[in-house]
Amino acid sequence: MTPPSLAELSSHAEALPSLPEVVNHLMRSLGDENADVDTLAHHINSDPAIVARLLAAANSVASGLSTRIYSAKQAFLVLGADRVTSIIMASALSYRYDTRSSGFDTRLLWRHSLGAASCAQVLAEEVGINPDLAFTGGLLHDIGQLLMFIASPLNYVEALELHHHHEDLSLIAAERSLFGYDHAAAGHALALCWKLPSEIVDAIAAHHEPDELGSEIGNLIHVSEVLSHALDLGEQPDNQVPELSELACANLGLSWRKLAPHFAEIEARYDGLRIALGL
Amino acid sequence: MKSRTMFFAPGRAAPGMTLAKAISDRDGHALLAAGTVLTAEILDRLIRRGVPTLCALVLDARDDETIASELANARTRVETIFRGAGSPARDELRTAILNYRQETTK
Repeated sequence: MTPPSLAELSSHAEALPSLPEVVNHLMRSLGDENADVDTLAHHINSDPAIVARLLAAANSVASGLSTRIYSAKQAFLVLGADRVTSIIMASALSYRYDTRSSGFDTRLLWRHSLGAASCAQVLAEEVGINPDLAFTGGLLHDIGQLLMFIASPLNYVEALELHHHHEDLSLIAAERSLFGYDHAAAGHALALCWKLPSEIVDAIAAHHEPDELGSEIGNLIHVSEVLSHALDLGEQPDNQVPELSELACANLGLSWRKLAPHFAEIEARYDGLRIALGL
Repeated sequence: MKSRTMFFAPGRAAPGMTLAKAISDRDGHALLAAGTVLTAEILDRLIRRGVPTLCALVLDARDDETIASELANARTRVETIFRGAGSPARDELRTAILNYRQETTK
């Protein structure tokens, strides 16, 4: 079976459940200092499935608390908007797009994405980029894999197997050989279709080859993804650290010697979120 | 008894642990000094303030043989996941990760 072309791919995007409205709203309010708790809580309350997962995750994150968290507004007041936003984003995405068919396990995809998001959040604080935007970029960076699998499951599983059986063949090279494009291009098309913020579009498009686009957030998500592999986050079988762009590191002014003291903190953040989200 | 430092999300730390590093909020204001013994009330407060992680001292009951074996495993794992050639930037990252694993495993 011939896989769809990149131009045809956007029609398959309709087969993916749309982003929950609350995620769209949170994404629009990222970095908006005027966003108020009541409005955000109101949007969250419009989606009972999200409320249930938020409360479960918030009570898990705050398992040491003397009182239980019983409402979205209380979660904001107790945990703060930043953490609630991170929990909702990760929880809503991993719940909405949960596929465990043979050959493609979204649980592994979301663990890896959560790892990249945890790295992005900490690195963003170091280089002066909005950490919430960075977290969301990390969560969504591989969303193109999901779209390619939905559009053509057999071809996508074949690409994954090709990559696993040939050590020197990267996943994006395997995807290109079968589809003619890779998951960064597919994710870019999906992000445009979903009308995501331009920074998130750039983060998804640039995460494997950041030098071509030269965007700050693209550089950050690229480095974050490589770091999440290097720290072995996501419990990926056959984990291998991908290539790291010298230019992206230089443009961000990153020094591994200075960042090394943050590695343990990244692991603890990832661990706390993964357990809270049941991933 | 020996001890070692480990990072935890506040919800995963336990009362009785001793802070190995001071905790500040996002604006850099000091919240707790190193050496503070964590209580349920303190952990409660850290969670409410949205502190993502803390660094605490934990008892280390491992003998020298166990530590040597863990160090060897950590090195092998780093070499495995960094298999294949890469850019100088990737090599620098491998060195940083290797040093980090050696330091935190000791």
